[in-house]
Amino acid sequence: MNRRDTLVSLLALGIAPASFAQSVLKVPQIALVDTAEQIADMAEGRHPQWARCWRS
Amino acid sequence: MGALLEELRRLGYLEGKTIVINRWSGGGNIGAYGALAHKIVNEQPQLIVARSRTMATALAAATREIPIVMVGTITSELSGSFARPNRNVTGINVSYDEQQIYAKQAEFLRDITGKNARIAWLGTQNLWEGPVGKAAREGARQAGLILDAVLLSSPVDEAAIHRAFVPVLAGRFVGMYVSPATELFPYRSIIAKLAQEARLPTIGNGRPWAEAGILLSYGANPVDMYRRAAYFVDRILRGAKPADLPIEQPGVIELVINLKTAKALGISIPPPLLVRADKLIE
Repeated sequence: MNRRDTLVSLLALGIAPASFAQSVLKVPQIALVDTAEQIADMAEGRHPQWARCWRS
Repeated sequence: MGALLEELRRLGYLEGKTIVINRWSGGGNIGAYGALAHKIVNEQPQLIVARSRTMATALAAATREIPIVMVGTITSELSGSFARPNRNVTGINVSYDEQQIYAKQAEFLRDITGKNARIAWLGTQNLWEGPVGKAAREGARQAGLILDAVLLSSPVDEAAIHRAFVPVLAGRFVGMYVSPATELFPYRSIIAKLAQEARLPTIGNGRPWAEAGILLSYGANPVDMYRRAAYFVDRILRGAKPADLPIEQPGVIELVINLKTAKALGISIPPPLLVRADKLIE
């Protein structure tokens, strides 16, 4: 895994600052916001970042 | 939102490679949506995709800069003009009054319960007091139904749903509307089971509700809406402004009938309703 892929992985896990996406990696960063757990229901199964976000 | 992610992939956005997607949820805690909105805005995403008017209202209060693509009831306070949104909100608007969704839902339910039936409206207080609740009351009035709100406490979770069903299971009602409160969506199977226990013909919004065991659903297909939302995301990431993207309405509103549930409830679906259905679940 190269440095860029590592940064992307850290972003996905919510470990790296989100601003890295746009300023360093030059990839867009978007937010999906739901009222309840249906992102996990409907999409790809439970996502680690998703749990981190709403429980914190 | 699975359809949105799938469509984004089709458009060339590969998560973790060419796009970073942060997922957030209010966890059904309506009172905390404002704080969550500020937290999301502080991360400065390039755009936000939001489901539900309540959440989008909190987000729109937190930012006038970051574009918000919304799927749900978009009110004029959120967007200004629908043809040329003059705030930072655009997307797919499900208008329950303009598209007569609640009027039709009430009519379909009345075809099963008969006139003057007392119907439980299951939802959240903010929805009951907003344009969706108003449209529901008007729809029920037109159909000759008596609508009583059965309100869920926040946070909306399994326990809140069981508490809300106490008066429903006590036999006060002969039918039930499940409101389009998005907080209910993850619990659709539980709601379908409880509605069957209460022996209530019930109508919900959109195909997933009938597929979960609710007798009837009438609404836009969420897969179509979220797929279309990806178009808005793509356009904005390519430089368009929300003002360049007129707010759209879903073109198809479909009626789905779950015949297995009808059988379990001992209900005969009137033939005109069967003919009208876009899909029958057998």
